[in-house]
Amino acid sequence: MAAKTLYDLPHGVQGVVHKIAGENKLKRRLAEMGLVQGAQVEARQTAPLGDPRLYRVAGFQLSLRNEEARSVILEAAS
Amino acid sequence: MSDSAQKTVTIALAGNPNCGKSALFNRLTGARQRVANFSGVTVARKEGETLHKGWLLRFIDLPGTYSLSTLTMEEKLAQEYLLGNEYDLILNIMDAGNLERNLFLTTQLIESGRPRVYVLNMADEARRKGITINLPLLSTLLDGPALMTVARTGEGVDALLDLLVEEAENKLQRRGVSVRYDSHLEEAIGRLTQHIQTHLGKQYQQQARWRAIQLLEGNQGLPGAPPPNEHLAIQGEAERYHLAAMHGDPAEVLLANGRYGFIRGLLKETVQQQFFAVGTLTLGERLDGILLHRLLGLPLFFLSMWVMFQTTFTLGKVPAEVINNLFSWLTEQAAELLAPSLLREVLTGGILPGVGGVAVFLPTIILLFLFIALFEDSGYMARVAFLTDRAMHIIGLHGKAFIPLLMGFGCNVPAIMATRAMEHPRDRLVTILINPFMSCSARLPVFVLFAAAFFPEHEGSVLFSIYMIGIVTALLSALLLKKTLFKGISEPFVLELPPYRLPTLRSVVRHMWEKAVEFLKKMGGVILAGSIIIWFLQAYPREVTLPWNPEERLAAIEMQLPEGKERQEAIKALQAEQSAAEQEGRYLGQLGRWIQPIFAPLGFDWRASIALLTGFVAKEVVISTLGVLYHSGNKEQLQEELLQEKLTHAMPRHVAYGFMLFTLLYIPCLATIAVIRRETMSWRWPLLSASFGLSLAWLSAWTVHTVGGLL
Repeated sequence: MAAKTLYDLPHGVQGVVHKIAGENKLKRRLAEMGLVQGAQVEARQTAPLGDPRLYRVAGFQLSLRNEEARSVILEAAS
Repeated sequence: MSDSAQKTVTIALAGNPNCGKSALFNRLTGARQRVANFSGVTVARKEGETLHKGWLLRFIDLPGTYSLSTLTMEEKLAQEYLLGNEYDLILNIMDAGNLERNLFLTTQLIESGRPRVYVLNMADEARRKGITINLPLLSTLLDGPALMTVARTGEGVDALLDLLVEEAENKLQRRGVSVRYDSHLEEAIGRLTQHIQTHLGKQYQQQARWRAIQLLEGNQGLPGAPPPNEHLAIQGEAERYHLAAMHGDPAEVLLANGRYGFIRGLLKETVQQQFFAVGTLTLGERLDGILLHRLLGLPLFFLSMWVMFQTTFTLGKVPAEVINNLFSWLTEQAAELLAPSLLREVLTGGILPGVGGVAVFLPTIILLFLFIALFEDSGYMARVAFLTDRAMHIIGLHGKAFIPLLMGFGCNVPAIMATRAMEHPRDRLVTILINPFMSCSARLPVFVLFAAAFFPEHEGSVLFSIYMIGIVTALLSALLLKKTLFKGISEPFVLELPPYRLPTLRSVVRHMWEKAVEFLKKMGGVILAGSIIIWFLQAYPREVTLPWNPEERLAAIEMQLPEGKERQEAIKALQAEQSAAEQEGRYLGQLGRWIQPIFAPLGFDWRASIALLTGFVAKEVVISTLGVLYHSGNKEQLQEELLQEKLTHAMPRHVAYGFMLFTLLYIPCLATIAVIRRETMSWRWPLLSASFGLSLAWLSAWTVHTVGGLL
């Protein structure tokens, strides 16, 4: 079964970050914004054209393109 | 107070975007500010100073950044500045209601070991969220005094000034806490620190740990970094490689994990939040539910844009009319009061109409920026980027480019000024360069005139087609630029949506004032010079030899026609013909004839060529020039219907459409060229914009002429 990513989270549901895939620059940028291992994330809203989506992380609202959200892998338990 | 000049302390303001840093900077410095540039780059930095208790406090407002990495230009500049020795103290500003992410930058500042003061700003928002912070404990753990402020109201600002002076009096102690990472990282840092301490000069000792971490993070090419040392660089890369191999993540991510671990521990000890009942949404979340709604979001956005343009252009009309009248009045006065002289001619024929023609845009620009300031300060701007990002992504830009492009329909000058909100220099340049293709309101009168003259039954569709061609050209040019000049990996779109905030009058007025001053400065320079040059070209040489003698023809008219209406009209027609013939003989006319071969393949005669040439000053001028040259009257009493009729005799329909296309696409007006020069700090981009526009304009008008000729 494919790993669950941030993009798969339905609105209003929380997940816990397991790891970030993708190139180092993106990894670093996301980690600096608080998407580190163990961080709680909640999917909030989707833009009218389906992309980007809005997430709640580390106490603030973060907008990510779906392409980038797919590289944030969540812990299986969540 | 006489020795106060010696007691100076320089304070660098560092903080995340949206933490109220600029508002606090304005509170601390009042009106005593100036804008400087970081050496060699286009990012502006603000400096300001204030006197407090015998000390001169100099404040440097660094760009707002989420971290000190070298991913974006702002971060790089902030990092370079903080690594240097031009300042004495770091003032780290945080949003008290959003400490977790704001503290990330702080963990990096801690590692610098430099003296620090912490400000937890927006204390009122934090209080409303039910957040209480143990300040003394936080001060201890972060190793620097901390206090709470509300920059919007000025709460805590005096206490902050006292604290800064106190720190300065206490000789600005260096601070020495550090963030502890897990064992593998610490071992690597230890090895690199030791290398720096044993092999490098004394000036690198104090920040050895910070420099070691910089090496581990892969931040290279920073000034003040250790001198090129193969060994150190190789060792740094080796450590990075080992860490990545061992943990499956690059060292910079491991360090970020460690920093957030430190932050969570810190917050657990110092911050308490009384949570609201589960299931209730905050006001901001409810607003987002409406403004970002999947069906309502875009219509509401377009509605707000419509309101912006409507208000700008209806409200702006009144003061624009006043400015227009003022300049006409000044012109009349100058004509009346001054003796006939060169000065009078330059004033009434060049400077006043030229500068006046641009000054009428001032109210529009101020009003547009009133809305931009409201959108920006309220937090809606970031939401616009969120709403439009998908559409902009198609052309390789992101949501933040949308507003400047839209503003271009009003006037390209404020639109290009508004690109400053964009963080990536490449994206910003692309947005600036495609902006002139968004048809500004100055071009509209030209289109209206031609559409009415040549396409009387289809004016609406013709206008619409012109605007659409402009938009499509802009989009295709963006794609082209992204594929050629600005190749490279597109930046990830990681955007914070800040909480909604009520804009303060103070900051909105300041914003508008700054833009107005900028605009006026530009008028004083480029526009003034441009109007004088154009005036000179159409006024010299004074004596033009005509192929026929006007006095003879006047005498002939007077002989043939009896006194009365008919004779009057004949004389008028003669005068108009004479003035047009004279125009043809002046430098501008000569220039028109000289460049006419370039325009001949497009079907334009020398008059149309000159009209386009003068349109460079401002696009509306195209019409007044055509009016003069087709002698349908002089500039003051333009008889539009007569001009329309003359035009229809002068060129076929398809050539007219080509002329409209040319007006749409060719060289940006003088004011736009000037603002592109200002914003990009180089002549390269305005020149590129001009030549690209001209080539496109020529090609499309040529295509229309050629294809139209075959039909």
